[in-house]
Amino acid sequence: MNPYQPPNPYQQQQYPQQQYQQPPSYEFTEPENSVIGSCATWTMILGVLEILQGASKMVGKNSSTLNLVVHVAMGVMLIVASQSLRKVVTTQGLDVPHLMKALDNFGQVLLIRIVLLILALVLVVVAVLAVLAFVAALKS
Amino acid sequence: MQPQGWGPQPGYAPAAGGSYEFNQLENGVIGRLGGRARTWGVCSIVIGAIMLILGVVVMIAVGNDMGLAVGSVVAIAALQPMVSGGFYLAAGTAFNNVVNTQGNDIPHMMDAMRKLTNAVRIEGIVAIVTIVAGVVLGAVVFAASQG
Repeated sequence: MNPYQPPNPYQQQQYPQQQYQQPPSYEFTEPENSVIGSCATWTMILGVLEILQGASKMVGKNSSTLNLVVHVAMGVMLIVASQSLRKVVTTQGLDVPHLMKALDNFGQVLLIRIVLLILALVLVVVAVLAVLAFVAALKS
Repeated sequence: MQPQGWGPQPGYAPAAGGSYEFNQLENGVIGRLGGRARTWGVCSIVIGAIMLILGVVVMIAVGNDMGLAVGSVVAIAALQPMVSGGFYLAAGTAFNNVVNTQGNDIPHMMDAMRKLTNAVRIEGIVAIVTIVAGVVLGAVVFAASQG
């Protein structure tokens, strides 16, 4: 492009005017950032602990790869959620999208926990039924 | 990367504070988390209650010092799921309030974040205490087995 070229009076019409007509977003205030920052810190700590817990299951006689995978997956999701929460505090302009990403990851961690609990409950019920059936068979 | 439909276009830098109403897509994410947090909260409280009952039963049924020690450890350990479960339940309710009410989305969101932080904090502290206690106990057992 020629730098000495005279300005084109019609060029202004090409500017995207819509960018300034977006619905207003939200920038969290200092006290709100403090709450979110605290949540980010503890979520990070819990994520690291979750990974350590998974790694500890690999030590000893009852080592389980599935246990490791589940704990590491939950730990990574918590760390990702923590980083998104940290971005809410440290960046400007995209607070709500970062918060939504964090909440989405947190929701997935809770879903995994609920599914694991239901599976454990089913296993316990099956084990109890098996024991009862075994006892009934012995009596008869 | 910003997911589509969340917040404004890049380059838009709004002023801090003020009022904000979450849109339908954002309410979907918040509502889903609210439901899961409430479910997990109820599950945690039930697990804690079962542990507490088991602890008391062991204390009464066994009757000796060992039974008292094991039962009281189980009963004390039951406090963590009960307390953090209470916070998860409260956080879930607050997240649902964000979705179901209008005009106070940000205060409800901050309330939910505080309760979520408390739940996570309790889990984290108990996990750290458990790890430290496990390491100390392991060291004591190892030292006793060597000596």
